[in-house]
Amino acid sequence: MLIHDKSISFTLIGMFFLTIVVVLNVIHIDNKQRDAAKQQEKERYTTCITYMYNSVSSDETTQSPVFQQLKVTKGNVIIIFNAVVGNGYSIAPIHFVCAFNEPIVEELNEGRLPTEDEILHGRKCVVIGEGVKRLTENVDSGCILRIDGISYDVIGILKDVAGDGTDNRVFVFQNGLASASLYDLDGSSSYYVEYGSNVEGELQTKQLLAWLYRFIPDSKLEEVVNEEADTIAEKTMMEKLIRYYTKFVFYGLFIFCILGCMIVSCVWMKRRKKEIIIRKALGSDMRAIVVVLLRDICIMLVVALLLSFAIAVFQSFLVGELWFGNEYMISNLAILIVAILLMMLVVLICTIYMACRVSVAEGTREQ
Amino acid sequence: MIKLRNVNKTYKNGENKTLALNDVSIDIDEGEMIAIMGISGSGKSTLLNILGCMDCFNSGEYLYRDIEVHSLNKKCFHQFRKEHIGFVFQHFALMNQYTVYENIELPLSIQNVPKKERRERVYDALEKMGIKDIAKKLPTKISGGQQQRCAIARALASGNELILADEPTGALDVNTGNEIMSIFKELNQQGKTIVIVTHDYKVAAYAHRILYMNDGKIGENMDEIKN
Repeated sequence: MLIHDKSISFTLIGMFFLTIVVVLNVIHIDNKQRDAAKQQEKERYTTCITYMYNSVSSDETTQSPVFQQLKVTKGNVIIIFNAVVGNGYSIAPIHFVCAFNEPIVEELNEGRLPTEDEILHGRKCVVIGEGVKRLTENVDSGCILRIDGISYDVIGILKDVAGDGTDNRVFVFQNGLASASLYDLDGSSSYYVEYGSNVEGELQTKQLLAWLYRFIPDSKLEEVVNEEADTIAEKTMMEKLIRYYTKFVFYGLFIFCILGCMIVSCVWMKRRKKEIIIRKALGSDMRAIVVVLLRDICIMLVVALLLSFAIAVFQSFLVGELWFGNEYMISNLAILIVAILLMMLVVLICTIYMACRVSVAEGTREQ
Repeated sequence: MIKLRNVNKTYKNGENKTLALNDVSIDIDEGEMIAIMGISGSGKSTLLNILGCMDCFNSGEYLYRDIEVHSLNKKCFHQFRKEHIGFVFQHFALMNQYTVYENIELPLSIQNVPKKERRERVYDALEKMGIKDIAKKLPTKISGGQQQRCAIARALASGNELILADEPTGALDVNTGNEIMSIFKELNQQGKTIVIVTHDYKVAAYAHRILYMNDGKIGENMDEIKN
């Protein structure tokens, strides 16, 4: 018989189960939040400055993509060109993106990203989204894409994350664009250079401006007030608060469960007092007693783990996605292991403390 | 076999001190059966606990054969208890969640006796106590007499030479009590040294020698220990 004193042991299993279920669910929520945060970080930044560059105006639509707007987003990362592919009847916005000092976090469907050498030497190469590939016929990894009369090698196709083929981004890397020069980007009414960053905004802005002045006369560059900045900051603050709240609820629940485990284990131990006394009286030392108790705790923990994983699998089945994505597997497992170890430690400390307090002489008299 | 010399034991409860054993000196020979009698609070259970190394004393000497028990540390106390002493308690001290067999097997697993040998010794003890047929039953499903037989079987199976019994018939009716005492007598005849604490003269009559306790003092007759 592996589990003695069934009622209290099952209560302890229940507490272990509850704690693990809480941890698993919170890990799942945390994964989701991290995914959402990553996605949001890709889309916008906490500080955002927009510059407008007035160029020669032209209504001419050519077979080549025509730039309407030049955006530099997240100065330390990328420059985005809002552009259109114009062939007389089809107009679709295309973002031309240029790396700026920081690696791009993007998955590719095929091909590759440029090497550091290629960026440094200004190789004319681009990585395009599925939308651009679709809009620009015959463009594929290994083909050439002409932007404003300049040929760029298509070296990679971005993964179509949304799955709807509307990714119209074109990644043009820093030095590749530098030799193209903004003066070459004729046929547009104006270019907007937008800068956004999450870190060290001021420094990055200076770097970005210095870089832009290489192409644009400063008289033609003016700062535009970005009305969305406040809304973005507000939203970001709200999201931060929600994240903190989730963490607070998680830690609160976890501490509550750990306290529960502690109390139940004390009761469990109290009910096993007689057994400890008998074992001690028969000559068992504390180490041997602790081994017996630890074995029992492990058995209960394994039962609780199996139960909670069964519930997690069921929940996964209900929501149609895996509990642990590969991306967070190691950190999730680390959290789970730490939580279980903490739980075991608390229970074991309570148990050993109670077992140490049992006096055989007094105990045998009481029994 | 056992020599206790000038043993003193004081219990402290805040500022109150209670002298449980007052200069106790006794000799117990190998194969002897001794009864310790006295009223409640006279110190007989304390003496038994000290003999069984379940409690420590403040001063004095305790010699078990060649072992100076008084100089053993706490860890060695466990070892000593495991190797030399078998206990029988008034309320049997059986684990209700274990079967009779498992209860008897317990001291042997504590002693790390191999499983095969354990089985032989448990069945041997069960047979001697006449409770082989209830080996698979839980203590809660058997009578008080059977429970005490099981407790004695546990002490017997451990193979220890000294059996300490604290009021072994206290929770039993007269007939069952007599049966249990006959078993003790038999064990004693087989060579076991037995120390029984009791306040029942009929039980004490089974012993070779009766020691009396009063206010922590011990003597062979009541008069010498009365103040």
